[in-house]
Amino acid sequence: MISALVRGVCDHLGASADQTSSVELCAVEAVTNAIKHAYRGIPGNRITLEVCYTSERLDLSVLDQGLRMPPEQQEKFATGSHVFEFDPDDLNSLPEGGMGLEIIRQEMDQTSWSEEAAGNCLRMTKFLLPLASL
Amino acid sequence: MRFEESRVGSVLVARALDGRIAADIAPRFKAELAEYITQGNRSIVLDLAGVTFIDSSGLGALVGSLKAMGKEGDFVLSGAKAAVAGVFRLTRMDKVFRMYETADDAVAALS
Repeated sequence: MISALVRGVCDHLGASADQTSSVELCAVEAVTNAIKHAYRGIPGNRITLEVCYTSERLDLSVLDQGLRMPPEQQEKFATGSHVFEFDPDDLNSLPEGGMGLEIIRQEMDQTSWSEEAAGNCLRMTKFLLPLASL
Repeated sequence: MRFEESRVGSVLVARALDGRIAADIAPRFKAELAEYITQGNRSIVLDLAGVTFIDSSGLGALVGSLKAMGKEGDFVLSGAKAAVAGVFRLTRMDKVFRMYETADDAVAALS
């Protein structure tokens, strides 16, 4: 459902295949993050995905009314985590989780997380044109 | 997750038949791969040719399977499409998994 919506918007905007894949992945990761962490996997809760766009940028907001993101996680989301700095030859060092937010941080051009009156809001932006042409 | 299985000598080829490997199916996906390993398979090719989307949960399930196999066997991937291969590059998992163009290539490498 989320993928179909995001892919539809990206197609409408003429986004490249790479951009579309990135935005789809990040939208899914953000919603999954809200389900797993804000709502601890408990069904029946509301998650709102807001999509705003111009021909130059695509803004996605994922809103939930669940648990807030822990401060240390907020810090990692703002500045980057080391989750992908593993030793490829050391099986024990490989992550099996905790990758979603770092994927969003790396793949999108702008990201933020904030606690607002309406709930927790993860915002992310993809610029659809090369920055030099903006 | 559904798989189509075939065997070439001692190599098990499991072709993923669902197009998406995401959080909703990742636990079951991981459990089924673990079952292959528990059954004693030590050379497994997971063919992703039919997969169009994978997220970090799916990736985590694959990492868990690689760990379960350990250094005593081979758990390799084949057929990853551009969007799927891109997720492996982004997360540096392309440095971890042996990935082949086709299942036949993977089988040849393991045989």
